[in-house]
Amino acid sequence: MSEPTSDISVHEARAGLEEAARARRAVQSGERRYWFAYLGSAGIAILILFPLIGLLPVGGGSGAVTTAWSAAIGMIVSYGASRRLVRRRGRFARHAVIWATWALVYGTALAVGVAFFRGQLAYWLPMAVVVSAPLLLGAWWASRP
Amino acid sequence: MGVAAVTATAGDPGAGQAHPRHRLDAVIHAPMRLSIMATLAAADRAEFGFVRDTVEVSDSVLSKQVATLEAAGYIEVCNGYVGKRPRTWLSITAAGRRAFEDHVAALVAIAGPGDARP
Repeated sequence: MSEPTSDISVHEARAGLEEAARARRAVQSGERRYWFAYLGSAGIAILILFPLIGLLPVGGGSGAVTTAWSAAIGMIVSYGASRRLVRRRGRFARHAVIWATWALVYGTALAVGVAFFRGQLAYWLPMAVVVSAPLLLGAWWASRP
Repeated sequence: MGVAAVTATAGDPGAGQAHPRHRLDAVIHAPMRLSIMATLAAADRAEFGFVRDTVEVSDSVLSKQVATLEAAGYIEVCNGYVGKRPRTWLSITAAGRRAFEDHVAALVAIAGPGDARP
């Protein structure tokens, strides 16, 4: 054991703990902005584009909308990754759950809609909200401590 | 107000000694390095600029402290690119996390009742 190098008071110990807590809050805050920008923009993109997939006729723009939507998500994911400055510990699992939930909801809503409700506004508009919900709620969930 | 002495060094947490000051880590004890370690402990990894802004130091000062922590085996530095832009990522090692947690536990013990672990 080495000789004492400096003294530490109760006040200094508390200051150290406060600094550690402040740093943790800074990480949380930095990630919160990222999650809202990333998942929020993805959720809004699907909210706008999802109804168009079912409302536009096959061969009359439906495929183009699907392509545009895929490109938009790809760009959002890529841009989000480039702008992400900090990756908070333990967020990977939440991220995976959010996208897995979205994929399940999206796939089910799309399959049912294409099979039974093509062109019906009453189905595709509410379903756009349902399909975008995992991403929009996920932005809130992922940013929580 | 009680005063304890920092006696431990990196990799020598003072195991087996009763007073919490023996569990303080001399490498982490420096305020700036404590801030860096606290930031990285809360993250899987953080970009150099983010840590610099969080700790509120210049690039050169952070580089020096990062080198000290890296030499102690407490953090890892990874250089890469995002698109064409170079990025430096910092992350805490398993040994660094253990050392930080032990250090914080010692601070809590010294600070006394009412101070929870951050």
